[in-house]
Amino acid sequence: MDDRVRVRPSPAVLFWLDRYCPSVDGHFLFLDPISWQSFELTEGAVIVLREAASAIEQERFNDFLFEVREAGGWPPGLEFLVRALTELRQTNEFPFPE
Amino acid sequence: MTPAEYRLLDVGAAKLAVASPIESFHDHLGCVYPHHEPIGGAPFADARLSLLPGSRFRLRGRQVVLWADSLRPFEPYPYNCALPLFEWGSNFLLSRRLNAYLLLHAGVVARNDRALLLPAAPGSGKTTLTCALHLAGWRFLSDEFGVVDMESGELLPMVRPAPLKNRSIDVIGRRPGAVLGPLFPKTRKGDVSHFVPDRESFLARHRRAIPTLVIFPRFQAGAALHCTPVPRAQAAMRIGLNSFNYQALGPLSFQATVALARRTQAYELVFGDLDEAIAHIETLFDGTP
Amino acid sequence: MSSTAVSDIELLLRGLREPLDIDEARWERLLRIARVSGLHARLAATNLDQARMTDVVRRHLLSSARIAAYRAQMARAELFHLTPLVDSAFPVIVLKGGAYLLQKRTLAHGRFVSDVDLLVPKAHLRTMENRLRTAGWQPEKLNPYDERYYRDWSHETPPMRFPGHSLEVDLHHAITPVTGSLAFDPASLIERSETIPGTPFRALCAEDQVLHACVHCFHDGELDLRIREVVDIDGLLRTYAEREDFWQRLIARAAELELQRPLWYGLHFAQTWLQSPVTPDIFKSLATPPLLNRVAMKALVPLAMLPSNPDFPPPLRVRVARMLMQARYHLLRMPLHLLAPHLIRKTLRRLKAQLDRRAEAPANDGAP
Repeated sequence: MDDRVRVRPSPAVLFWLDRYCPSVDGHFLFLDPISWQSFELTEGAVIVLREAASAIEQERFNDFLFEVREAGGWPPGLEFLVRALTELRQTNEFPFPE
Repeated sequence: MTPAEYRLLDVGAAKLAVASPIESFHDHLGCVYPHHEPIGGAPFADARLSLLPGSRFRLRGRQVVLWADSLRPFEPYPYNCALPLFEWGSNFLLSRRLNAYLLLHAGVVARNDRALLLPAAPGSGKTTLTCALHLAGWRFLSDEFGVVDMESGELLPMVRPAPLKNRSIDVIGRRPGAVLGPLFPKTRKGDVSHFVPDRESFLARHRRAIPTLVIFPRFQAGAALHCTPVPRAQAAMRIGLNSFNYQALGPLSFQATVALARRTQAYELVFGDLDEAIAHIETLFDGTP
Repeated sequence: MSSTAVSDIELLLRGLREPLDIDEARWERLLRIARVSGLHARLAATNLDQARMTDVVRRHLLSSARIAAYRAQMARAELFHLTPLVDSAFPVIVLKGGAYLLQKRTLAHGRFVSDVDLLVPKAHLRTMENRLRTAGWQPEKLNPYDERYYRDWSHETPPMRFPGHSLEVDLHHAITPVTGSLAFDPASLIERSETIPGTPFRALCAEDQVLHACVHCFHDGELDLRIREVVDIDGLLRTYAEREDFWQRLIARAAELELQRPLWYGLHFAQTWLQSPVTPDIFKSLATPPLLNRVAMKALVPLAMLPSNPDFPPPLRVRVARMLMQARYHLLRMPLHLLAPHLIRKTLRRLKAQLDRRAEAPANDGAP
């Protein structure tokens, strides 16, 4: 539905989603990179997260926020998780020892 | 106290060193750790602590205090309750120092090195169930700590006496083969007596087990047996919630619980009768790949 | 202390600066005193990747490192949460550990953060408090006497906590108690503060960070096992020592704010214990404290601040030293006529708490 040119994004935010938003037997889990809390998410919520992640990586997050407002606002609880993802964009290191 | 006066206990995933001038404490220790032999050399202790008597002139009765590294982390216990204080206090100290592992709050038993995990919830009956399974022939790894090596996914034993409370003392004490330590009536947690794992489990305390089945137990007196599968994602979350350091390990523990959930099957089991529960668990376990 | 105990401490201090090559038994002793003094994660920061050690020692250091990392992450989370509350109306300065984290200082590695400390201009303290409350932070419950103490006699307001968060936010309008002997107008702290790029927060300038650490170490609270504060001072000095004119500015600033005494002690103990790069001419530029004070501090501070032999309860001389230091702290902080009723009140409350309290577990994560 979207025919904008997609620039290949750099890893930080999508990397996080790949590793910390797994699908387990069709259910989704998510680790908030800021609070280190875990959540079980619906498929719809994960779609929003992925869209947000792409938007962040392509530096069009404000457009994305606009789209969310147009669509009637955030699904409950999701805004905070998305804002946590924006924080990832700014830090270059992961804050934990492997 | 010089290092020579410490008694070393190798419980598997950890070594404890304890010193005390209280004779009765040493007798009690011998009751609940009957298989341990003196350990030579000066091995590294994961927790080193002393149980020291309080003033004999205290009006409300003499007390015993737990000292660890020149600090007293807990309130004193009555003088004759040194063993429960040692057990509870050393568990607490260990839970703070073993963050190299993921520490689940769970009972763990095994057959042929395949492990059954029983994550705890207050009143779930996990300790009683763990002890009953052991008496039914399962290897005892722990009643309290599911020690997960996050790299391999394996569970490490922490073979320690299991504190039974109030009614459970009788329920388990009646069963053939049950070995219990001394009774401590009316502690702040009620009546307490420690269940002693068998010699085989002690000898196997360094042998790891692969998690195979997860049962979330829920004891309800008089309830009919009711078993529901738990979706893996939910199991991962619940296992994490039932842990000592899931939050603190963040991304590491998140991955580890997802991996654990993926390689196991999980059920919630409501039960009123121990033997019924055990029979059902064994059927489930036999059917699990 | 026995000679073994002294060399354990020397080993600990050395292990904070360079990787150690010691046997397992020695490591166990070291970890025990490091834990008591809250330095076990710093030990890990220096030794985990570098030193040779057995697996069990590695596991303990790793455990400590992970706890410190968790605390640091919770501090970053708290600051992230606070970001929307900061605007251009007035500056918000992050103090101590929060600043070291945001500024990505090496000394933040392995350091346990316990709270987030913020400094705002006094005129805006209530505004900031209200912003926090509106956003969901709640003050920790205090009785009216304590509240008054915090507001009028101390630079702190009651700590605030967002429900479910592990760290508290402490709001300050000064870095010394307003009734104490070291009180000065904090306006210049704010004037000299610096931005922290990528955040809406500010930090104290380099010299003020050092002075704050010294004040906090020697004048702000009980001295029990404060060695980690001295480690902070050493870390700050090493971070800034190479900057042009740093030492001159530090000494000038100490004179300006009349904080030479705490600075002298900070530099003295950092250099004595950790070989901080403080040259003799720097000491010469500072007024040396009177002989009696110096002798007393040199005798009492090590006893109070350093861990005692971990196999025994602290010996009498350590307990006395800590009591004396505590008395000193209170005297410095409040005039005598205010002090006596306050102390009586505090003692009574502590006794009552002991009688009421059940076996409470301290924070379940192995950090002070």
